[in-house]
Amino acid sequence: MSSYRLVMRAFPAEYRQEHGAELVDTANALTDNRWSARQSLSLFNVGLRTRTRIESGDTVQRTWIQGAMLGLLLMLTTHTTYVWSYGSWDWGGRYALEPLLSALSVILLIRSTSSRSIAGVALLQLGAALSVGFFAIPFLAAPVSLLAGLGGLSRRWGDGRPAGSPTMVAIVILALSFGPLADLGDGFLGGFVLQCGLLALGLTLVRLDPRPLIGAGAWFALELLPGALMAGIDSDESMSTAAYAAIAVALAAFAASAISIRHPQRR
Amino acid sequence: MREPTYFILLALHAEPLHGYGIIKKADLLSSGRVRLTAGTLYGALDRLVDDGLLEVDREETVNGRRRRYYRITEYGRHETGLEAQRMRSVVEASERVIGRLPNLGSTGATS
Repeated sequence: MSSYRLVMRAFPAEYRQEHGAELVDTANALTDNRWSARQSLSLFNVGLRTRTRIESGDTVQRTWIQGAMLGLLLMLTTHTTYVWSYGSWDWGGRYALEPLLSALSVILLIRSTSSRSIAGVALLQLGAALSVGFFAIPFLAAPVSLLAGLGGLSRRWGDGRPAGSPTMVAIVILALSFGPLADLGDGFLGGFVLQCGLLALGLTLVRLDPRPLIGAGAWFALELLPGALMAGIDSDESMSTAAYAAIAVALAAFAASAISIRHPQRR
Repeated sequence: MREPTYFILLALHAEPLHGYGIIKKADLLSSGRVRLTAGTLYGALDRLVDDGLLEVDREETVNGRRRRYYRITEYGRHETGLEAQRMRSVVEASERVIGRLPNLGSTGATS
């Protein structure tokens, strides 16, 4: 398989069928049929974005499905990072690669703040956290993972609106710190997983309504409900906390289909 | 609005163009500063069509290859104009500040 065919695999099949030939022709014309690494990387990146793009014609429900996917991806990547870092797994040659991995983690972290695709954010989040995990400082892996995910998601979700990423990040951090669910979740991992789900939930809510105060208000309202439900549940097991997070996201998705939240109109 | 986006819109102000034509025109208009890759261009085109700033003008088949021409919409022209206005105000503000600095001495000398 030639390199451009491989790169084009990043695009959804429908898109490839519709625009693939034209895109390849344009790239060939620009590079005299010799694709540079920059060209290939750019196409690959756009392909991933195309797979996960939110379109203006998308329904509120579809946005919620994407939000739920974000939560799931955040949870999965965070879980993987955590388990990997704390596991007994070891690799003798890692010390020789420390400078390289250090640079890699920094690059991935920076890159994650500019990625707008769900898959891109998850991969960068995982990559950055795993790179840190290699240093035998696993307690840093989970925060790094969250940092990468938060940066990437807020960037993606805040795109093109005056509310902007800093507002949303502030809302997310405040709500996670002082919201009714802040004390829920047993142990670091349990609370972390729950927070990841809520992070996706909050960002999706704010995404659905461009006015940050209304978005934050709606989020708190939704947060109170599962919070009240969970208050009487014993959350000793981290897995049960993960289930709570899944319930919270599912509940929010259900509520979104019932509540009429204005979808941002871009015209 | 990011610079590549602005120059894509600007490139289409005069006439509809296909992908390669847009890249070349943006390169020309920006004096070589905006060099779009095919990936960046098509990613932006999809987004701009989605946002209603551009629309597909027509499709042509040349040597068995399909070419899609894009044109700017009225909304796209309006947004480009607003962006140009915004940039003009930035330039004017900068000139007021930068232009005032050398005049400070001369003002002091003449008054």
